[in-house]
Order: sequence, then C-alpha cells, then structure tokens
Amino acid sequence: MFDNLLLGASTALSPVNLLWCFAGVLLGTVIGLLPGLGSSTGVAILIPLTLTVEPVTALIMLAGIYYGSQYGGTITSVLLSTPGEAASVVTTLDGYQMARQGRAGAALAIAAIGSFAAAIASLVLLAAVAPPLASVALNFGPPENLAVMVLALVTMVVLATGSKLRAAAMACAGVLLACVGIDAGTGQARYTFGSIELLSGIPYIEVVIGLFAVGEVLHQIRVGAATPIRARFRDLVIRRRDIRDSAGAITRGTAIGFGLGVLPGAGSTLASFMAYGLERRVSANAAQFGRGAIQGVAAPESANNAAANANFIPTLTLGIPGGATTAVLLGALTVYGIQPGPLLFDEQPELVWGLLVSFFIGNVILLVLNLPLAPVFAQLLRIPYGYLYPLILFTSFVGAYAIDNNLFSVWLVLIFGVIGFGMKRFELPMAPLVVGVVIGALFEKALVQSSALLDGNLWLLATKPIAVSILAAALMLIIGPALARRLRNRTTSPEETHV
Amino acid sequence: MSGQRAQVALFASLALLGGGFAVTAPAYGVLLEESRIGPGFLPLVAGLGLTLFSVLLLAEQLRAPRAAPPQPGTDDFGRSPQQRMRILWRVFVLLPVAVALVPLLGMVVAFGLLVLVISTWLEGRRPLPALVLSAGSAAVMHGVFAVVLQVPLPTGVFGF
Repeated sequence: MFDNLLLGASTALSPVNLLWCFAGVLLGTVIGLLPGLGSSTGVAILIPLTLTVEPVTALIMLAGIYYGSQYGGTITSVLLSTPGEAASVVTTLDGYQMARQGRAGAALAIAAIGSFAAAIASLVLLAAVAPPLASVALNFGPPENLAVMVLALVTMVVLATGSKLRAAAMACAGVLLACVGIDAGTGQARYTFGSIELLSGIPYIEVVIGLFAVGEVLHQIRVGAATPIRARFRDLVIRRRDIRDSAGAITRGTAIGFGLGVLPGAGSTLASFMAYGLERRVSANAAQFGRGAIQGVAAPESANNAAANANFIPTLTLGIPGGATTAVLLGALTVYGIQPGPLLFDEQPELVWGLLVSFFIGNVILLVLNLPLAPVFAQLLRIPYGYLYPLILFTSFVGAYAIDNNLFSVWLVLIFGVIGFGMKRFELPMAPLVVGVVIGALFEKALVQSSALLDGNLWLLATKPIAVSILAAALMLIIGPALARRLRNRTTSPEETHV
Repeated sequence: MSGQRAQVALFASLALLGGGFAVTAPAYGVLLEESRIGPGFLPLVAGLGLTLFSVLLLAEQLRAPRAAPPQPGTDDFGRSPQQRMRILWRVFVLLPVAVALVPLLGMVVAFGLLVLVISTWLEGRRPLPALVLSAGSAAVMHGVFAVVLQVPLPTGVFGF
C-alpha cells in the first residue's frame, strides 16, 4: 500500500493537479453556497470544463467540488437556515440557532474542524478498505454484480430519509428511464418513439443537470429568497471548551458516517440525521439540542463528510454509486472512457491512488481556506438571487450542450428541470431516481448475463454463496427494522407496557 | 389545484406511466429462448413496481390526506407567493423560447438575452447593471466554452 500511496502522491502533488484540486475545492465551496446549487449539480454542470484535461486531473477537480460544496452548504445552513445540500438539513437546527446567538463563526469553525477530522479518518479507512474489497470484487461474476445492485437499490429505498414508498416509486422511475434506448443484449430499440437521439438512451448527466440545477432554481423562485445572518471574523473564535464538547460528537459522527457511506446506495443525508439523533440521545444536555448545541453541528457535519468519502468505496470498487453525487462522478468516469469497478485498482492505479491522495490534500486546502475565510465566503450570500439564477440557468444549458454538442441535450435539461421542480414541489426524493437511472443499465446487463450464465434459471442464484449473502443482507435491510420492532415489543413485559 | 388534488393527480399519473411501460414491455420480448431475460423484462418489472408504489401512495393520500407542504409566505424582499408564482410562470415560458431561439441567434446570444430579460423585466434590476451582467456572462461563456474548450456552440445571425 505504501508504494501505491507514493504513486498517488506523485500524481496528486504535481503542480497541475494541485492547481485543479485547489480550483475544485474553491469552486465547490462557492457552488455549495449558492442557493439552488449542490454538489451533484456542481459536479454535473462543471464536467464540461474538465473534458480537455487528463481523467485523473478531471476527477481530482470534480472530487474537490464534491467535498468543497458540502462545506459551502454548511455555511448557508448556518447563516440562512437554508441547507445547500440535503445532508446539511439537520445542521440548520442548531447551526442557525448558534448564528442567531452571535456564534455563527463558532458553528462554522466546528463544522470545518469536524469535517476535516472526519475526512482524514475516513480517508485512512477508505485507503485501507477499498483495495482488499476491490480484490474480492475481482472474483465477482454477473450473479454477484446483480446481487450488489439489488442491495444498492434496496439500500437507497430503505435508508431514504422521508417516505420509503416515494423513494421506491422514484427508484423504479429511474430504472424505467434507463430502459429507454437500444437494449444492449439484443440491439432492439425501446421506448424511443422513432427519435434518433433517444437511441443511445437518456444521458444521465443531462438528467442530473435538469433535476438538480434547473429544478432547484425554479423551486427557489417559488419559495423566495432569505437574507443571511452576518458572520464576522471575530465570531470565528472557537473556545477550547467547544472543541472538548464536540470531540465525542465528531468521533461518533465519523463512525456512523463511514459505516453508512460504505453501503452502496446509501447517501450522506441519512448519516447526518442518524448522527444527530444519536448525539441527542447520548448527550448530557439533550434539552439544548435545537437551541444551539455545538454537538448538533459537529455530529452531522462529521457524519456527512465521512459518508461522502466512504461513498467512494462502492463507487470505485464495485462501480456502484454510493449516492447522487457519486452517481454523477460515475457518469463522469464513463465520459472520460474509464470503466469503474474492481479492475480500476489494477488497471489505473495512478488514477485511483492519485484521487485518494488528492482527497487528503483537498481537505487540508478546505480547512486552511475555510477557517479564516468563512465570513468572506459568506459575503457571496449577499448577491441578489435575481442576478444569480439567470446565470445558473445559462451555465446549466451551455454546460449540457457542451457534453454532447447537441441541442437535444438542452431540451432534455429543460424537460428534467420542470420534472425536478415538480419533484421538489411534491416532496419526491431525487437521489433514488438518479441512482436508478445510473444503476438501471448496469442492473439489466448483470441480469441478462446472469440469466445466460444460469441457463435462464435465476433461482440458481441460490447456488452462489456470495450472491446469496448479499441478497440476504438486502432482505435483512427490508425486514430487519420490523423484526427488531417485534422483538422489542415481545421483550417488553405486559406490566411495563401498562405502566 | 389544491395540494391534495394535485398529489392525487400526480400519483395517478405515475401509476399510469408505470402501467404504460408494463403493458408495452411484452412487445419487446420479456423472455427469450431458454427462458433468458429479454429486452422487455426490466421495463415490465420496473413498470409494475412504479404502478404498485404509486397506487399505494395514491391510497395513502386518499385514506389520510398528507398535510400539504408548507406554503411559502412573503420573502425577505417583500414578494408575496402570488408575485413569485407570476415570475415562475414567466420563467417557464421564457426558457423554451430561449432554447428555440438558439438556432437563430446562437447559444451565447440567446441565453445572454435570457439573462437580460430575467434580470430587468422579471426581477426589476436596473438596466445598466443587468446589461453588464448579461453581456459579461455571455462573453465569459463564449470564452470558456467556444474559445478555451473548443466546443462548437451553435452560432446564429451574429456569427457567434
């Protein structure tokens, strides 16, 4: 592993890659700050900017945008009570209260420190876990891949925050979108309605730009803008007591985030909610939660950062996205002609390890940038949204065009923008749809190959121990919570129940 | 349309969409020779899934209407929800118009104009800063995409 890290360092520390990493982190922070833009959108609309550079450089920049925008999203959560990302929703509860009490700087500082600590810890784990997992995954055939994809879809639905039914419906809709175009197995065109453009399927970068960027902008126009709370440099001073109080929350948040982030299909939103819930349960001053408890910022911020890094494990080793943003990154890999999956570690060690080492560098840059400059970034929130959103629309449409040099992409972005607005309006989750679109084609390929391998009898999957174990894990995810509830009820004595 | 009725319409439409996929999927061949998976298999399964979940959501909605999402009030700039909806509807109209104008005016000019129209007409910004913003953004987009990245952006009557 040491050799790999050296190889990665030599790649990530090249002046060009350092520059792009810095640009990614900086752009990411700004993107996370802007209402209507999150990490998925940021990565999607900036993919065209990276088309002319080496894939590793492009990925380093896009990953920088990913974790940079998470911190940018925290700034809006704290100062505006408007989360830039779903994963920052829970941060608004205590972060905004701290800001109202004149402690915005402390909230931002502990978020930066917690995120940094979580990122470094999870990166060490990522570097340790990913290569062995990739080696194991090298032995995976179509049945095992099929099982992993089932697990990813189940995880995405079962662990979704909010209504599971809505998440399930959106995952199915995503898979259906992936069915449009030429079927890889037989070469037959499906649901194209005679359109030549639809023969190659619905490209998911355009779907993502439409859903996340245009849809979000339309949503923001509907809900209206808010004025941010001013953060001053002197407020940034964080007390030693704050750090002492937050250490446990950061550690627990990191553990939860990493554990959930490793699961294919599980995003960082759930990790942040679970970390917050746990912290409130174990905290000695639970009553302070929701009223400006610093642990209420430290725990979810650490969790979502750890989960974001852990999301790269299924993405890089199995080629299955951990969440919506890694789904877009997966799309970027294919745009650069790289096939993600276990072979990536053997075939492109420079790319994989360069990317991993760049995470360390990017997080250091993020900490150095954000600790002293958070109030400067916060000034960006004062740009009137009336100026901002036409520019976001402009960038989205031109960016979409640049991917395929095709006006059809622009129309697709527009259509999915309207769909995205409708989904926001009716609280339909977007991540299952995006992951469904990404996984759909891979799922079908694994399904067709498995059926050919097993002579058309998918019940023979039961003879594949790894596939069965993975499917059993998926089943446990579905029935586990109900089973645990029933067991809990059974162990509760009638006396206790009636007290 | 009220929140409840809109949700009912939404889930009914999703159920119909899923049903549409499921009904048409067999035409592509669900199973091929030797019971192998055909091109219609996944659309059939996912279509049935979408239908099932949408019907369950519809039933949930009809049985115990979910509280409508909170309606936004007046924002910090004093705009009422009705005023914002009016802006939103105009943006809905302007966007396809801008895309349709791309072959005629070119991408940079069409979207530059869109920025100008939104900033001045819809958002009430002063003309000069809005003009500077739209011209500046058009120049930046042209510079980044057409010049640096060599993307052949559609050009129109103005030649760029």
